[in-house]
Amino acid sequence: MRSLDDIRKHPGTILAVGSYRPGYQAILDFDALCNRDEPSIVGIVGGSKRFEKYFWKGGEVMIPCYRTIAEAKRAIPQVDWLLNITSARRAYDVTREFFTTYPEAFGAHIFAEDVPEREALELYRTYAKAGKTIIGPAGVGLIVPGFLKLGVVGGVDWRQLQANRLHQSGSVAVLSASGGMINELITIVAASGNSLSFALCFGGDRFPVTSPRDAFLAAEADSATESIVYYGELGGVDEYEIASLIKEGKVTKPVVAYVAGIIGESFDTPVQFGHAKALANSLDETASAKRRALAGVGVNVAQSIGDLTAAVKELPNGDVEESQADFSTRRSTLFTSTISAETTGGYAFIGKTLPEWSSQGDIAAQITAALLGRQPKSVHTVDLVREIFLLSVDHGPQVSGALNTIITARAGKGVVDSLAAGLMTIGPRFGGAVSGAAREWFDGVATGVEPRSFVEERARAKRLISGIGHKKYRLDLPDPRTEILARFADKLSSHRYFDFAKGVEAITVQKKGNLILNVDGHIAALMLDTLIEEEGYTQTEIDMLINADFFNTLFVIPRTVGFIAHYLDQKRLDEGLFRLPDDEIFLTDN
Amino acid sequence: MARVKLTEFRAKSLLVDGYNGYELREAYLKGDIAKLEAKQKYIVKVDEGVKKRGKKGLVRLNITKQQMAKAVSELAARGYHRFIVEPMLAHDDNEERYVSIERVRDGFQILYSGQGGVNVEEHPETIKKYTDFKDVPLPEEFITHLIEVMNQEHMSFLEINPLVVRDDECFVLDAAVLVDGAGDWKASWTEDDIVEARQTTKSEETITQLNNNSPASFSFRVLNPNGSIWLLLSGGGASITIADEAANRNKADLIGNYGEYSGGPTREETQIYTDTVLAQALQSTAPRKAIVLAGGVANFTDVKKTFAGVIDALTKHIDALKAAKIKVYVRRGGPKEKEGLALMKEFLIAHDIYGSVHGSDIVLTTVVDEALEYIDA
Repeated sequence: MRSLDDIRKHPGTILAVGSYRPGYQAILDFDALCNRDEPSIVGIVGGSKRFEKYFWKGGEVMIPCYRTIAEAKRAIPQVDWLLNITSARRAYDVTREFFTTYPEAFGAHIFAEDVPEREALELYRTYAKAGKTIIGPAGVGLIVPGFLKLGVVGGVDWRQLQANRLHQSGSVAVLSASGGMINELITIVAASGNSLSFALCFGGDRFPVTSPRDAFLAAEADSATESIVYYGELGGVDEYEIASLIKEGKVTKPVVAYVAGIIGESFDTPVQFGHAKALANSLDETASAKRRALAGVGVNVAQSIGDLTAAVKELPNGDVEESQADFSTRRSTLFTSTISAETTGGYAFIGKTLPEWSSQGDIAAQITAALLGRQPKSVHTVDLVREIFLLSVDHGPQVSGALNTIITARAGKGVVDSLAAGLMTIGPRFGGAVSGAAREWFDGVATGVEPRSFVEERARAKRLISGIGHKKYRLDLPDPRTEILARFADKLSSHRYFDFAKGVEAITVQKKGNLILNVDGHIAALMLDTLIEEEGYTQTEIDMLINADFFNTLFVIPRTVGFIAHYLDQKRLDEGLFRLPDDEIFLTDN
Repeated sequence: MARVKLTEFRAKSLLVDGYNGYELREAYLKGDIAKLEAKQKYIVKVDEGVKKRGKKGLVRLNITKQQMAKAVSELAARGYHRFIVEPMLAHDDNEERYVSIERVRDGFQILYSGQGGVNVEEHPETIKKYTDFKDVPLPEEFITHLIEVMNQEHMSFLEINPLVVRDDECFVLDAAVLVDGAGDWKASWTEDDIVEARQTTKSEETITQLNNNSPASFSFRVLNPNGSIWLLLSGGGASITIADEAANRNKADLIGNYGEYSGGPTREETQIYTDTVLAQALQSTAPRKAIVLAGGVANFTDVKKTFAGVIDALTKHIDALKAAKIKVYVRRGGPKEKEGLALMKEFLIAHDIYGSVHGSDIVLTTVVDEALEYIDA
């Protein structure tokens, strides 16, 4: 087990797996009360969100969420602790996966009750024996006041944490089989005017990975601990092991203990109490026998919890400092924004002030940052965005979006209405095929399908391939715009998506000469390659971008300029209201 | 979850390849007996986890198919419903061995004696302890098989006594198996194969059901149907500590029940739980009765929410509670402690069943003393 002194030197970070908002909030509140600079929980695995908002000190913080531990690993290369809040049926697999993914981690707390004995023992043999610290299964974890809270131990309300002075390292170690009683004991210690060195709940299971014996040895080795308060129960023989440790001089610090369950001796048949282990099958396992064993080696064994409270008051007291923090007025915000802010004396936009943007002097760089939500890492990304804009600004008044803008302008409407009319035309048939093409290339590469089978599948389903085909340009009459775009592939060290798209084109042009990789198809493929190679995007992030229609924005932005050009042009020309000539309409009953 | 006992029939079906025993149930007796062979002599035993069946007369030897119905109905008349039937195996006492295997932290602890059957109790000094099953003087194939089955079926404890060994062949005459209740979803035994060594009451079964269908945990056991103190406790540890206080005062016999709810139950679940305890308390013929509604300082269970569930149930029985002059003594801490306690105090006073209401600043067990004072008064 990792020593308490080492935990105080380097408390470490936590990856939480499972969903337990109040528990996670309490850990952040504990961190805040301890004046940690950053929350100890660095990521949450589970749920469908991309992040969860938590209170952090007076304000809020976003904790990133991941679907799997493997996905978390890609974003967070190193974490120190697992907080495993998954169900009894998943707890074992999740713990194994965590240590396989993060072999350098210190340990874990498993919250679930009802983890099979065999799995608990498997974890003990595989990981505890290799030096990992696993608290549980069952129980409420480990708290090292001032440094680390791993589990719900100490409570989930910041007022409880504060009232029990869990921000401050003290001298009393509390060790308990019971999750409820550990909090009761923590409250008793704090009320006695003392503070905790640490509190560890090994849980009421038959085979907790960290055993009571391990916990006593950890308390003995801990430089901060001066005395130990212990809560045990009938069932099992742990107290005999503890008695041996004391007898052999391996535990020398004063111990105050309560062993619950003398009530069990009042009944003829053994009673199974709340915890799995809490059943006395033999006389050795009764509370009375175990109390005698501890008393026999000099432990101060309390006869009731009232006696225990009195005994705790007699333990040596350290200095006590109350926390002055007050989180009572905080409340959750309704919106989150990472883009911009009004600051004193100016405006910030994606990490720079507007004058800084101004001095950089590159609108393409600014728009790229706007699209990514952060500074681009590579100049190639900015160059590609700039090129896409230069080539997509306008493709003539015939296209439906421009036409709608023109008709609206001629109807006497203003710039916003006319532009809106044009923009609202953008969709699957006009201009909105970039996202569709990105989906094609992304899924094609992800499934590892050959371009030929990819084309055949779609042909069989009678489905068009977004990003393929042009009205005018053909294999023997190349589109001058795509020739320029294609050169960007050469700037990338790898271009899987572009290669795949070209592979698809090689098949489709055999069927028909105009089924070429069009502008949309080029933009989608090259942007996919650029985001992954130059900006380090993960598959999950790309998937999210496609769903958010990110790729179509590469068309919407430049074309907005084109639509405005048509609007102003019409205002200058002022030709009056447009009406479709009668002979342009075929009138029929059917 | 705790270790629980399998029926001997299921235990042997899992442990012995080609097991030739039968399970007889009172409800399907005719059909079950029809499966037996006419010429065979059988042994029939009560199969409900009862210890020392021989001494209690719950075993019948050399029973034929024709005699079976009578033999079983005699046993059934003593309140038993499940039986195990096996062909008799003639053997000498000196062929009997004793073996038990228990899952322990570092593997298995195996106890073995060359003298099995009743002899082992008379000669406990013949029992030897082993940690490596290969060292046990039994055919290796047999003991390896036992260990495999124990792992596969999440068995925690196995006792075979007697085990008859002839050369390399082993015959499991009597077997007791405790399985890890938490391993049920990975093993092939089912809830139906679990025996309760004692009769359960209807209210206990209600709570077992509630526990099985909730992520929170609930337990309830009637200790004295005519008890005076009825416990509504939260938390596995705090509940024992609170119940201990009655034993400390030598008043354990006044306790009606043990039980606890924990793990963040919902308002509705708490209501069902409380309802069951109250109904049982109201049936008690004790002249004076009190409810102790108590728990430690919860880590995460919402006091206000669970108390709202308790109040729902109290409301349902309020007239009967008042008529029986039952008082409620409360001590609880944790999230929403103040709000929960205020809610409870107001309700108890308004309905004239107020005993006391305390928060986490008062020692956990004070309420038990207060309730006992009321009972004695």
